[in-house]
Amino acid sequence: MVREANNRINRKRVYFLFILFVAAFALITYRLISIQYIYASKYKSEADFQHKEEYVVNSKRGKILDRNQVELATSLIEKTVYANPKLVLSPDKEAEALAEILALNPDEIKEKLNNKDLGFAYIKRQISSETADLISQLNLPGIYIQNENKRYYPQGDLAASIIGFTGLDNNGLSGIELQYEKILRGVDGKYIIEKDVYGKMIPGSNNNYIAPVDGGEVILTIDSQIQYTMQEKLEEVAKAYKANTAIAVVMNPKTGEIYAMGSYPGFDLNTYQDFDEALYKDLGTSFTYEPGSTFKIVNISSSIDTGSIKPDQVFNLPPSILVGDKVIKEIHRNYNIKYTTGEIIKYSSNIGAVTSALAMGKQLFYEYIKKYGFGEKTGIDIPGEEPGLIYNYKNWSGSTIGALAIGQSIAATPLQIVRAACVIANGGYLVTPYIVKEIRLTNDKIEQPVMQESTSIIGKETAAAVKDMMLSCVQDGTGTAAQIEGVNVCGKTGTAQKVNKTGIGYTEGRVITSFVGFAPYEDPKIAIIVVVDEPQGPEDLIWGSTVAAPVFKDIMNFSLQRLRIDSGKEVDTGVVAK
Amino acid sequence: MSAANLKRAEEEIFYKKNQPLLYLVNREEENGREKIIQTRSGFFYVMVIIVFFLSMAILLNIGLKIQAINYERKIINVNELISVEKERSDRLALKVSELTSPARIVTSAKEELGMQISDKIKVMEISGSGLGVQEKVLDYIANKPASSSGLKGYDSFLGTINSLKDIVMVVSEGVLTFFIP
Repeated sequence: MVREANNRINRKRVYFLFILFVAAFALITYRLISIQYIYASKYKSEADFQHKEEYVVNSKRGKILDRNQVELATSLIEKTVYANPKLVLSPDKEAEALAEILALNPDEIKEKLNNKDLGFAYIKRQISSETADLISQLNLPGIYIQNENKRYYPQGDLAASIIGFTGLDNNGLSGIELQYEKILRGVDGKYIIEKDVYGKMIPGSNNNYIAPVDGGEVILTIDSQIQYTMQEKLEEVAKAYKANTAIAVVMNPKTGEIYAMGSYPGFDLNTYQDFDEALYKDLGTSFTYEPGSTFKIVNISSSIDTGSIKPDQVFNLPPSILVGDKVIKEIHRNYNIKYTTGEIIKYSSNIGAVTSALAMGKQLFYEYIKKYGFGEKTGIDIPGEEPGLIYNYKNWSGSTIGALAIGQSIAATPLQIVRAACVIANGGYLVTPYIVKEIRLTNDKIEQPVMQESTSIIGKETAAAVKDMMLSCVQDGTGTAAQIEGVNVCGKTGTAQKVNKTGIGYTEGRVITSFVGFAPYEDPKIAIIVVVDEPQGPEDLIWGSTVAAPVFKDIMNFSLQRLRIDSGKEVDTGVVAK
Repeated sequence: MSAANLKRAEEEIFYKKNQPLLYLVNREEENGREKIIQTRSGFFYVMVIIVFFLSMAILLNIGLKIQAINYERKIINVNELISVEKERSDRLALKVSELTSPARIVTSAKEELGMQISDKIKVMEISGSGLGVQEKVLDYIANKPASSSGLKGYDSFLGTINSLKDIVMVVSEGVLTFFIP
């Protein structure tokens, strides 16, 4: 009986224990499931926050090179010391040690390290690797070294407005630096480490390193020597004539490659903060002005192409003509004269140009101006390009066609005008200017920018006829100052009065002088425009032919030499092969 | 102890000796005899082997991990050395770019050496021989003793310049440029 009673009690105890164990097991199972499955992500992120630290490994910004691989922009890795004040154990001691190595005021560092509200504070940026090594050896808790890129521009002010610059965070802010930001910047890497309670890396733990991808290299079509010479000549002319600005563009008339483009005054890319922001603009693509007589090549070529006039047609031209409510005059002539179409260009006749435009009519003239790409961006691959302005012919007043014939009532950029000259040089094709020759990515892949096909906008014969006219303009017309010995140069002068600041009417004495042309005549390889804004001097000496043409000549002369372009005439030196 | 019990005890000892070291028994309540209900004869030895290899694998793993850490550290050091050298090379390249910039060279040439860029430069194609342009120039230079032609060769930012008495030729990119004083 006793034994049975004992067995019953024992069984109850066993059942109780069993239930207790089952309950405990269920509780543990529930807890495990909740930790491992239900709240897994929450606990994981909390654990990661406590044990893992993520360091950004900066990618190296790609170089910008000229067409001959001359470095225009490059990056160097600089070391930066920073602190996480929350993890600094003894701020005073660490500040003293850092101040000694970095030659800084210890009180300033102490202030930063004692501010426990901060999770990040720069101690010193851009220090040498040797100094960084000394700090690393101290193993100071909460003090870290980070690699940072610093952008350098070894050529200083060369092609500054084209290249552009980067900000403190290494982001492109203007020019090519901005336009090709994605390619140049690359992709930053990461270094994820597991750390102990002191914030130090646990060796051998699951440290995850994602390598950075350095930025690609951008190779420009710019030739740094032509660019330098061009800038030097622009500085000379701007200083000699106390001009507001001098602008020039040098390009290949067949391909649209830009060899040089810039303006004076410019700025140094390494110290861009010290210069006026207005200088950052690339004026070759953003300076809009009334082109004056250089626009006559658009007018005359359009008239010939539409069949409105013939290249050898003779015109009896009065000294002035009434168009709408405005009288347009010749500048140097007060008598009637007979000019051929070629002589209208050669002597830059205003009345001849107006007669040509009137023969064509509003609509055709407007359509051809649009065909030449005026009023639209050229599509060059740098930011900040201006489209210029041309009103629809339906909104023209009675005098607009006359004004347009001589390059007024239209706003164009120097690049648009030189592109129009390229149409004459290359046999009637409108090219899309470009400044990036190729892009070299880090995986040795080379990308060529997508080129837009050139479109034929005027006939070959028309282009050839206007080319002859531009040649005679330089040989014995208004552009003789652009002549180069041994080279047949084609060109057109331009002197446009500047519109008043109110936008109504023109001011005497404020002019924009320009010269646009190309060479050699036989096979044009280089087209150049020079624009000088408000040159000062005696009125009878300030013309496109006197101010801009000599600069054109100098730049063209150097460019022909530099690009080894012969004059088209073969010379036998008498050197005979053995 | 009776003979029967002795025999039983001997039998049990013999029985147990023939059994493996690990076995499951059930003790009968009435006579207190143990009855073997489950045995795995090779289990113990298998377990010993497994434990041995497992221990070896763990030791090997730890050893390899230590070695990997050492290699990792070495790789980090080598990478650091590479990046330091690369940085040095980049700095030198930057210095070269600064020193070879046209602005510096032209300014130095003009201001320090009193040089001028000649306006009288002609670019010409040479005809009348089957040689390439550069070969022709070298051939021409080779046939003229330096003393008689006054030949001087030097490099400039324009290319290789070969200066003769009355004519200067620039040989660069396969085309000739003549400076005619």
